[in-house]
Amino acid sequence: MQRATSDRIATRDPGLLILASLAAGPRHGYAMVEDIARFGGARLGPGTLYGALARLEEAGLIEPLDSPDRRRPYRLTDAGSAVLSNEIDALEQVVLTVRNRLAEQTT
Amino acid sequence: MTALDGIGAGTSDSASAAASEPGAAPRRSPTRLASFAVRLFPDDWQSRYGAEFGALLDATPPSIRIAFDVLVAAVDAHVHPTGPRRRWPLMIERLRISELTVFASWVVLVVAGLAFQRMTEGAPLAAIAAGQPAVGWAYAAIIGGAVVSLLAIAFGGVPIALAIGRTAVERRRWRQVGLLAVPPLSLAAWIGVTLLLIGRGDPVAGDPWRIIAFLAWVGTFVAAATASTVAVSAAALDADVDAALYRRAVAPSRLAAIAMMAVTAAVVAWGVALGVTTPGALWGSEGILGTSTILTWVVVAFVMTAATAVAVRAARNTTLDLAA
Repeated sequence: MQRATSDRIATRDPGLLILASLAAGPRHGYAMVEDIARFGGARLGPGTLYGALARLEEAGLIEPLDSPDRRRPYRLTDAGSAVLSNEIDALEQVVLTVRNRLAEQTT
Repeated sequence: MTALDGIGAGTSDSASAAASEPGAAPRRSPTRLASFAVRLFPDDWQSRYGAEFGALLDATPPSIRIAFDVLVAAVDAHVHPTGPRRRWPLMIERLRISELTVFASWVVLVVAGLAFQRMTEGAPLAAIAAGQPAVGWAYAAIIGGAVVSLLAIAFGGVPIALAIGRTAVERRRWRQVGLLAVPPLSLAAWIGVTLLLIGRGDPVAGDPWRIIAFLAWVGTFVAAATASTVAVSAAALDADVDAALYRRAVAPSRLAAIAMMAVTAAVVAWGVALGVTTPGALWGSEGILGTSTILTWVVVAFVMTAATAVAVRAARNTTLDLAA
């Protein structure tokens, strides 16, 4: 089951998965990995996660928070929320279109 | 409420995720394995993400998949620096990659050139080069192109290498000093193997030791060239030297690519001239280890063509990089 869900095409973009995870509130790296594994079915490796985190931070879509220990939490910026919203709208449009086409095929 | 209190504050899902992390109170410093993994990344990346990345690694069970994931990310961080602390504008980063690509391609051409030199230094082909003007001119063009490419690489690369070395010593970046020490150490190892083989005397034809000795000699050279290229490239990618040095190296890198084209064309012309003037020699057995001459020539020409194509593409990209 895990294998099947991790093969989903739309949930293979680490950046989108991270933004989606942070939509629920600030998280540090390990919490993101666990959260994404739960809702996205894909367990991101540490290198993949931090490669995407660095790019998202550079783009201003997320920002780090202060931390009393080595684990640093991140949160969505306003720009990050807007990008995530746009991406979800685009995905919904794709899903709607594909559903309609599949329905046309079966009728 | 501290910032960390925010973790898991969004949903019960995230709260359980944070709570389920092994070692909820992480060690103050990373384990040796995590420290080693963090050191694979560029210095600036380490200073920005090293501590938190180490904490994540400590909480992640080690596996081959994780090791591969970290290795790929480390290479990517060197090749495509990201994050707010990126040292230079993207233009310079791309320029640096393009110039290093020209350098690596040139090394490949040199290795193929060594095989060609080994084949043509024998008495039969050397005599043909002296007696047949077409073959001789092609050979002279190969030597001329090789010298020009060497001078171009040295003119563009030596100032950068010296700056990297000087900066590394001044800032006590011993890892970079070690990387820069790889080429002279590799050269010393290759010379040592060569002297060792010479000391054993010239084996007679058909002696299996002749093949073993030759493969050891070539293998050491290829390994030394590969290690030197990788080490110098890694040092350059991780170094903080004056970006103007890379701008000044644009013209030499283009000249090196043009010279590589000349060498490759001359090697092809050499084979064609040999086939036209002395077909028997081309179809003879003057190749590496007494193999077919034409086979050695085709392999050398193919490797040189591939290396030159990569170098020309990278040299052309330097124009695009500067215009970006």
